[in-house]
Amino acid sequence: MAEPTPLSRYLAILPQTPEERILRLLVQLGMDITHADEGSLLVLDQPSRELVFAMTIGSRESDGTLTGQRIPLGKGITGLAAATGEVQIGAPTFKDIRQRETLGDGPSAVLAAPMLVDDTLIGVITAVSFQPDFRFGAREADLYAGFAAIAGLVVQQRWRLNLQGDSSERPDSNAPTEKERLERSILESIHRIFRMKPERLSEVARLLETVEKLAGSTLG
Amino acid sequence: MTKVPTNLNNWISRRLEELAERQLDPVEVAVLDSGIDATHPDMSGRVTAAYHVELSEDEPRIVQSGRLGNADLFGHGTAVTSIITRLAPNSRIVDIRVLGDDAFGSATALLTGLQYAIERKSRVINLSLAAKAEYAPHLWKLSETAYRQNQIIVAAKRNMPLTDQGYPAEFSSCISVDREKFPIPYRLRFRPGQTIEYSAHGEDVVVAAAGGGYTTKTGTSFATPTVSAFCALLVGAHPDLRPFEIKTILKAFSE
Repeated sequence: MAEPTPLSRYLAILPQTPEERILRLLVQLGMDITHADEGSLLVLDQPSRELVFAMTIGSRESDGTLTGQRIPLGKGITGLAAATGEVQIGAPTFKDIRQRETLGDGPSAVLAAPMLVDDTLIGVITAVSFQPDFRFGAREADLYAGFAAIAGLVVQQRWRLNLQGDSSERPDSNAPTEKERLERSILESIHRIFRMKPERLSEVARLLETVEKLAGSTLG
Repeated sequence: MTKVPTNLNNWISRRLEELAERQLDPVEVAVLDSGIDATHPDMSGRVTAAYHVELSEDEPRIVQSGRLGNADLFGHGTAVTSIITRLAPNSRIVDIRVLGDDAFGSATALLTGLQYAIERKSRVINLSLAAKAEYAPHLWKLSETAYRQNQIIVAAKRNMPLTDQGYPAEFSSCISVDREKFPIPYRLRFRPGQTIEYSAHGEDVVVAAAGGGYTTKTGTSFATPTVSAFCALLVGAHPDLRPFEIKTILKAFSE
């Protein structure tokens, strides 16, 4: 059995499938339109709270070395895009406000757009430029946000098809199933009531007991 | 009576700048974000307290940070705050970290932080972030409470408005902000008939970088603090102003 790729493992997108090719195409298009040197797609590994490079386009060397590499969720422009659910633009840091002498190395410009499915983060797509004085602007950010939205939709459609078909089509994935999503939604509701309306908790507990009793016969 | 010149935009910008040059009452601005680098020269003495949200299994809680250091994990909060401190010298910043660590992008952290800012009666609350639509009812209640308590929430429009424009920015009890490119920061545009009522300078904005130095930022996150700064100036000059009066004055100041 083939080794799972980051895309297959975390997003249930198998290699050489139309979805994999569309995701690659979206990153490529994003790069071309924004005049970036490199573009990447990173997927979220929820348990380890890390983003994993699933593909890098623009440099064969980067694709070979970056794919599979992990970066912590709570750091940098990519982490910020993941945390806020918003597209983020990064520029170099300068020593003074007149912006002459840069502090540190790194690319001239970075763009990171979150991939969301039903407002839940599944990954981030990035664009990077190494050209001196190059900057991404609002237009590039809007475009990349659009590509990330389409990428999220592609993944969501694949998941829906998997759910409709044989569930065994879904490879070893950490992506939440419909049941897990529902369970999480219920727990989050209870948590919100606990926080916002603690005085109503006993009422909720009684309600849940009733539901449990009603479902008892079918639950066995 | 002050004579209004023909170039109204320049005249308005100059009035705001004059306000910033005056000795105004200090105004507390709560910044709910990724934390602030209080050691950055642009923040010198301006950050009065720092808090963060801890998400435990029992209940989320606000914890005061022991000392004022570099609490910014992403550089976002420092960038946002530097715009407020630059434009409104009378602003006194309270750092409420709701992004990063275990509070990673969590709506619970945002709600807890906002509730705390409302409880401590921060006069202006800057939200350069948005929560998912499912949390809108909770945010609406908090925004209404803030409005009744004479507090002003300035909230960013989502940069990716796929399903909504962002919460709490969609609520009329808040002042909502989109981004635009203006040649100078003391400018504002009113957007009649739109959910997001104002747009401010939010492209290639020079901001302080966490850890030292300066960088440029683009997005609604960086237009929002411009409006928070204007609110701090107006409240500093006229402490009794109500939120609806602030909105009216901002509209009068707008293009």
